[in-house]
Amino acid sequence: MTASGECAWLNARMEAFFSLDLPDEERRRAERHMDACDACRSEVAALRAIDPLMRELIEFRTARAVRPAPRRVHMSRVFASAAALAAAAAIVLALWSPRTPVTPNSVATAPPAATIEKTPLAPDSPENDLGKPQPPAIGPAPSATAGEPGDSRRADAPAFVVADVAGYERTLADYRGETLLVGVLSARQPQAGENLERINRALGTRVRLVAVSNVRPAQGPKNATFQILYNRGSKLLGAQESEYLLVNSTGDIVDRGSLLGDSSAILRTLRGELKNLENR
Amino acid sequence: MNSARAMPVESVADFEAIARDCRPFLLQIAISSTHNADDAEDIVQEALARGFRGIKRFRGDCPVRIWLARIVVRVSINHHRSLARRLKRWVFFADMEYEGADGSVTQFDPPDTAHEPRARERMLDVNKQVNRLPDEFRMPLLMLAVDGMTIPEIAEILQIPPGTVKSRIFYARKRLKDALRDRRTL
Repeated sequence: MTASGECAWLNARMEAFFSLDLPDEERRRAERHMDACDACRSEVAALRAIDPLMRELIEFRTARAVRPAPRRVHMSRVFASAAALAAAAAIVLALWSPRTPVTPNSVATAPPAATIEKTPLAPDSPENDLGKPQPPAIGPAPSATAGEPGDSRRADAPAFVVADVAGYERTLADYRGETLLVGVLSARQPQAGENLERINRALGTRVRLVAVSNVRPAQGPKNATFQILYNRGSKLLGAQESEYLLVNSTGDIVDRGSLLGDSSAILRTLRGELKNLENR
Repeated sequence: MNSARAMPVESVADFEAIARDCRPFLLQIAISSTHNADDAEDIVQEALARGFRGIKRFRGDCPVRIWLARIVVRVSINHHRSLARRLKRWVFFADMEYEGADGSVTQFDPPDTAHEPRARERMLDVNKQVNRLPDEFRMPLLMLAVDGMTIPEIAEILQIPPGTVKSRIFYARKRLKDALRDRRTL
């Protein structure tokens, strides 16, 4: 048999050769031929090189696919912001002190304005960047959180971190550019979930609904058209159970209210607020 | 591989546990079945959401992770189709190519410090050639490269006979080898 005839013979059996399906005798014949024929040897070598290359490709793709973990509160920024707030508080106290002597106790129970209202910018941050973590509030967290599950009443809890069923965390930065309706479900008041469902059906195309539950598993309405996310020990921008927050595309809270009561009244309010936002 | 659960899924908590267990495996399936690795996590999320909605239809005739992997494959095919549709209207930087006067093609790619530039360029080229393979050949070839995957498992996920998986892998290797040789990547 000529060399080219032997090449054709091997070529016809290449797949079986690779799948290790070739009978022993034919396999030996193939190997003998490869020893003698440069062309076939390099052909087989090139085919064999594909599998390691694919493993390399999988590694390469995996490196691209796995996103870095969500950014945590940056400590240096926290200290800078906390220092700025402390300085502001000291100035306020200094101005007040001649008329109303302030005891340490009254400072500690002062209402925590910074937790619910738009967080004031620290002097070192020139723009209100959603990607940056919000500074933690000074003073106690909103009162109604006492007795609730989760650690959202911790003073250093982040402003807004929620996670989906599979454990992916999201912060406000992930919703940048969207008008957001944050609704907090309540296990004790199923009406909140039902109203949220009505809101989603009516306004789902105009706002991004983020339904959050403080407890797992969530007590949402049956056949809900929205996905329920879980609070990861954050303050949820100060929203309590059965409350909603309307957050504009730059991350400012423009409206807040209760999810309980007549859903058409809530819808009317929300429509009005959305119209204002769209006109602006 | 672990978590070869074929038990019925009774509750949300069950499904959550399965989703947690299977996520790394499903991510690898998504990475090997998609065109663009950046979409892999989104595909897994979508597949888990669909799996959660359709869990009642799961008959328990195969391990849950295989059932979920099938959904991942379906989602990634659809994902690519819808992406391809959108690309007719939009051009992303990542898809931009510049053709030089000498016929050489430079691909736009955002900087990636994790890989050596030369190696990265080579991998991008390999990636591109792999993506040119038809789905039915590309997927088994890449799945075989995923750590721990076997031919019978790939056959189960793609729902084709093991012999077909073997011959498709062989054909894919051959086509890829020819393409990469022409470009002197191999």
